[in-house]
Amino acid sequence: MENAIKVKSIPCKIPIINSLNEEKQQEIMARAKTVHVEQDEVLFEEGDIGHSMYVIQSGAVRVLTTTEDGQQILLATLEAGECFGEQALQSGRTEDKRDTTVIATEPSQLLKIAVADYQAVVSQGSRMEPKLKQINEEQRAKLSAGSPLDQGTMELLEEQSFEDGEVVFQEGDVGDRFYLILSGIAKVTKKEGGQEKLLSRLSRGQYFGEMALIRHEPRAVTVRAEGKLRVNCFKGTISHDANQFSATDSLVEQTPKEAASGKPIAYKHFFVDELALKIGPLVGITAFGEWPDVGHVDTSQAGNMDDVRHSLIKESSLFRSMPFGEENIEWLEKLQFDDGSVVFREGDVANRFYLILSGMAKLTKKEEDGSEKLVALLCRGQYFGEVALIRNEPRPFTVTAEGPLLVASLKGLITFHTSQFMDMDSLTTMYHFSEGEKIISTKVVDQSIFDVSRINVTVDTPIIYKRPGIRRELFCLYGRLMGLTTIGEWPDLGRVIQLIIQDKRVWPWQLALFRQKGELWLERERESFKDSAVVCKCTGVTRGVLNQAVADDCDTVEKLAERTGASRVCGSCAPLLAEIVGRSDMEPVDIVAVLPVSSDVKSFRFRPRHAPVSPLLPGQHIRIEAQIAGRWVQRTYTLTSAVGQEDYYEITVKREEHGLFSRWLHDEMNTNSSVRVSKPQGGYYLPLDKQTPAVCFSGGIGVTPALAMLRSLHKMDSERLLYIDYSARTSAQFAYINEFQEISSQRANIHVNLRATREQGSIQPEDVKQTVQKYPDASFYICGPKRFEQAICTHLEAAEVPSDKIKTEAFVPAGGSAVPKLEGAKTLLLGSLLTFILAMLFVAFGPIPYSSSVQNAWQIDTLWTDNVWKQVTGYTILGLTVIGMTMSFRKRLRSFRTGNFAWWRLMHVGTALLALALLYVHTGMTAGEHFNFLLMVSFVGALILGTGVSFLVFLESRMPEATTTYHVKTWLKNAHIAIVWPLPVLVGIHIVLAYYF
Amino acid sequence: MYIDKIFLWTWTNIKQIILWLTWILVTLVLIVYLTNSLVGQDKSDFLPGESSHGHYQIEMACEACHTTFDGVKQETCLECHGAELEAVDDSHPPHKFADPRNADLLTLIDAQKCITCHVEHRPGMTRPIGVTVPPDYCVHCHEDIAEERPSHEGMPFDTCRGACHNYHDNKALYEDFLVKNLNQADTYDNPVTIERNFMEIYRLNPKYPVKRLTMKDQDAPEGVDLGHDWEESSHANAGVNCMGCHAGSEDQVWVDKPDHTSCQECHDLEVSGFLAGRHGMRLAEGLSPMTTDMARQPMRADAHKALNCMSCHKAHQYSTDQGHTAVDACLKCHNDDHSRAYKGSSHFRLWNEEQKGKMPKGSGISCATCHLPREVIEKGGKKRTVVQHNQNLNLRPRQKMARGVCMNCHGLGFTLDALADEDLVQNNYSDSSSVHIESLEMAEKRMGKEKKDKSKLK
Repeated sequence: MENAIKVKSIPCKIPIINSLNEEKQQEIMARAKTVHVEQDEVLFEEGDIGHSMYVIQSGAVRVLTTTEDGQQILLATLEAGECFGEQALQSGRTEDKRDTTVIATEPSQLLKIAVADYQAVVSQGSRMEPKLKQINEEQRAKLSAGSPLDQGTMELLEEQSFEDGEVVFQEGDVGDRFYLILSGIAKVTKKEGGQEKLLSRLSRGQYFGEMALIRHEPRAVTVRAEGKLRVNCFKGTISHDANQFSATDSLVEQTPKEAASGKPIAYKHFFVDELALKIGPLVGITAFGEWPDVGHVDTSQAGNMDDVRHSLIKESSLFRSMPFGEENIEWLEKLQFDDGSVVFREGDVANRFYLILSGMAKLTKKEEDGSEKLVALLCRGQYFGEVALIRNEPRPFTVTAEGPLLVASLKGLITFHTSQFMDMDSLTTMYHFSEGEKIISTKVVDQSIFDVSRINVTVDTPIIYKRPGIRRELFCLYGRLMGLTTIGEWPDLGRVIQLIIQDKRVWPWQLALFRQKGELWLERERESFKDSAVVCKCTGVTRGVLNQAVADDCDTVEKLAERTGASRVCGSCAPLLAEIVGRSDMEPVDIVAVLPVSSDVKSFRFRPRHAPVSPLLPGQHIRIEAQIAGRWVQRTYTLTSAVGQEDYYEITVKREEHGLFSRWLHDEMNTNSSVRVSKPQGGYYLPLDKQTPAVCFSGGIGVTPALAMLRSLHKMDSERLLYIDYSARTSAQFAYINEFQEISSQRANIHVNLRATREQGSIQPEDVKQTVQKYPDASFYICGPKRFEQAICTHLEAAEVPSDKIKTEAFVPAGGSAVPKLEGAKTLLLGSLLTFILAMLFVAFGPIPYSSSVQNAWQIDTLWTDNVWKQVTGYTILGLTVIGMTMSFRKRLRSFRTGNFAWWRLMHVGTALLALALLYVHTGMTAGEHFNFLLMVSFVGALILGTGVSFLVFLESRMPEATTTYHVKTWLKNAHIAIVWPLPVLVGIHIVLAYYF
Repeated sequence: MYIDKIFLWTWTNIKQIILWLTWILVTLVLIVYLTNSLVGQDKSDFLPGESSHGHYQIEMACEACHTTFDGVKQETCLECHGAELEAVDDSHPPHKFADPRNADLLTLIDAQKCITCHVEHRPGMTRPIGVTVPPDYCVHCHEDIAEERPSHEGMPFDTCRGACHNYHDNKALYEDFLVKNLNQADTYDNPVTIERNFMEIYRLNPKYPVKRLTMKDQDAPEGVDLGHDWEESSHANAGVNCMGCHAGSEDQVWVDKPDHTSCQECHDLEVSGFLAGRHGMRLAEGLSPMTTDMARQPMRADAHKALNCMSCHKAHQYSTDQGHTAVDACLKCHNDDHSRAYKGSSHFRLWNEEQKGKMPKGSGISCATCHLPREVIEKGGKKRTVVQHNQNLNLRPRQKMARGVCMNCHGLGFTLDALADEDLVQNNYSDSSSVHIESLEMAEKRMGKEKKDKSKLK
């Protein structure tokens, strides 16, 4: 107890101890020993076997490690309250060696906690309280006959879908649910020192959110969808009863009868000695595979297809957990049974289970006296046959169709269990396949320890990969993965587990990679992870690296290139870089607030990250850009913040169903989004140095400038007259109606007229005329839909308002991004255009006819009939081609990287143009036959494709937003190279032919 | 581990490795394929274009003209065409240009080489008669022709060829010859083709005692199915037994279908002509026999002949009776306008009547009369009348038939006019010519002038 008190006074930073309840913490501390060390005394060395961990009570120690090149470096200096050596505790393995050396820097007092003690305490009886979610009695009574499994089922709430990037829950949220992934990838991150650190990626069949649930704590991590994510969401708390894990009953089966008595059921057929895995009660069930479209269900029974499906989902908890709508139906087939036909008989081998789509199924059991006893009648939405499948035993019932019966027959299902892995609390997922094949996947609660194994398979010694904090073991058999155990994070784990489940081949080079790097896939093969996409093909810089650089304030293409080296070689990826950078003249902002205004309007507040808020004039707009799905998109919005607002910019945006940007703002933007804004700009504003009255005609969301004026005048306490005529379709659609009414009622100089056009009709010429008469000398500000603006303008002109008093908002269209200037762009365009025209002329117009008379001064055809000329032109073409092709070396060979690539490209095009001109002279525009024709196709084809490429290069420099050009260009370039490939051989043979015959 | 590193390197660069390997493989395959084509028999991949009508049959026998890595040599041209050029007394023989006085002309056009004007298979280059220089090439040397011959004043140079002159064979327009043949009748009275005299020549050779053979004498090996046709044939009549034709050239073993080499043993001149002409040139180059399918001339769709001696000459019914050989055999395949019009022509009428015995022997005009005419050849001091089987000598340009063929029956004036009328040729001389060639008048005028000049001199 003495120790415990001491410890309590020291803030203990070890999560492994912190995470235990207070009782346990105290007990551990009670077992700990106090150790005194002198200055420079070595506590343990690298390579020692770790038996215990230490907490510093007083004094300090330094932690050292040896680098690969043999140098000892200082990792950290630890002081009172800190701990070290906890890795020994976490792994709980005796063969694990220390990877650091710890030396006391001053005389210190330490608390030594032995691994054995820790484990003893943790695995003691005082485990988490049993509180399994009970299904209400009524429901149980209904289900017990047919499906004993439902007894222990967690209550399935719903199936949820998340779009790419959408947050499932955030760190710190209250945890009241846990999730099973049906499809897609979930990204688990944790904030560390202001930065998000990727912990892992989870995929189908894995689950998350269970820790907070078990331990009644806020979420410790943030989970986001990567790509489209679908999950089953379970409600309630999971916990498990220690009684159920006693070693004695781990091999004992509980019968359905016992289940009926209300006790939770544990399925413990799978006792894996060496892993010390004990599997606890079932807490959930779901099915594999995808649900096909229910197109063939007998529709006479229930409305249309969707109705059928929806009613099925409502009726069966199992249905609810099944992913719908995907194509793959490998796991499932539909079977039709006539009245009285048998689905399966008692004693049959079980290899599938069944869901009733329509009709009724009768479950019967043979009594000892030979009579058949009815066990249950099941109807649509219920299921049967799963027990035998899970237990791998013969069918206990006979099932016959009662009337026409349509069932979906599934090959496998998944069950969830609480469990204990090496005496640590864990959750286990079991995949039950037909033929008794099973895969068990276990995750230790609160730790990055995973174990996956295939049941009934003997495996060799594992392939092990180790580095500090990480240990991965793979079990292989005949080139297939049979199991794995991992300690520490492994972002690719989900994909690896899929390998086991899908029984896919693991190639020798994958194992080679594993031995070296601990991975099964090269970085660039993780196609689904967009960050790994290579942007600069020449230097291999990935999107992830570039994104990181942009996040680190590389805001121009130049800076980005400087930092990463991308685009420094051929420069063809510069447009992509520009796209990643976005507009460099804009200021990155933080999202301060999102305020709902009306049914489909929200206000958004942004604060510049590095600069102050620039002063604005009421009515001005800002340009705003955001990275949406990896691309920068720009829009212009009127500022609705008042003059003098120095904390933020506010814009008010209506959600347009087909508007990319407004939808993104409303639905997807979060605090992690990259947003930038320009300074306030535009000539449509209320000059604050005048006192003339101002009249605003606003239509719909065009009220935003009026709002800014209203707020500004109100804030400035100005006496200037302001009249706002605000039209919206219905009164529900008025944005900021309260603010308008409030301010106008407070101030005598501000009047607001609200016009719900559907009820009151739209504004009439007389209304405008009256307003004009009422406010002489006023300036008129119009903003709204195009037709609204036009109508008001016409009315004002009719009322003889001078045109300089009428102001309409004209947004400046979003400008282009700052792509580095392509040098010699016009020359490139001209050159490739000329080449293209010459090449097309060659193709379109046949040969130049031979001279028809010898009496002309000079026969042009001498050029292509005379042997000397032919050789001169031929070899010149060859020479030009070779010179032109040196561009490829400039691009691909490091030693060749001199000069601006743009000039090299121009040279390439120039030589091509010259070579083509000479080809006219060499051939007289005859395409040739047979072999010569092939050569001609290769040559002229390459030229035509090449001009396409350079045209797109030019286009890119002018239209950086058009990324399609980049992809088309890549395609064209590949075609260009492909068609050039046989050219060396063809030319060689062509030259031989010239002398051969 | 070393092997791990190799694995990893390979895997990391797998895309590039595959690309380069593919390229090397494709390149190698391409090189092997093309080199193989170049060295091997079938070089059709490298044909640069369509060959002329004169050579297309043998375009796949590259070595007939090309010397590997040494181009096309003059000798190879002369191998086939030399004799003919000599026979027609070539007007522009190479040695004529060897005269140093003509050196300046040679810079304009190298007339010493065949290939200066006859370039083969270059797309779009070949003009009619296989000439590849512009048609007014005569101007190079004969620019001042009007000075020497005022009658030619104003005639464009691209009209020299065709109706009148022929670069190589100009004998029909020799001035002396024209003068000699002034004012001739269109057709002579009762012209007759000369008789062949092979039998007589043959009889003079003591090695081949001509004895009429009958079936009793036949020397075919046992098991050969014998018909009775042979007994009636000219061959039996001339003492040629079965083995005379059916024996292999060296081992005297029975051959079912003897080829032209068998015939050659006795009919050397005829076979040589055959091999030099359109029907046998492929055989002469060691190619497969010419077939109607390969022909560029219109051929009858139902004819699928592979040409050898037997295509025209019946094997066992062989007879000097030419009813079959001289007309029917030709029309079995040839289907052009000229051939089809033959049976409506006066020539055929004469032939028909001769065949019916209404007209004397030799008075009919068959296809062979003009295109495979009989020639008298002196050999070993004996005059032999043989059929010229090289039809190329009497085909194109048709003006070269004037002296050797047409003028056997027709006067020169009539001949020149008729040959110049393209329509007339197509309808096989069924009308009279609508064209008039003034060569005779020109010659006559010039002769008169010369006489005047001479008399003046006197």
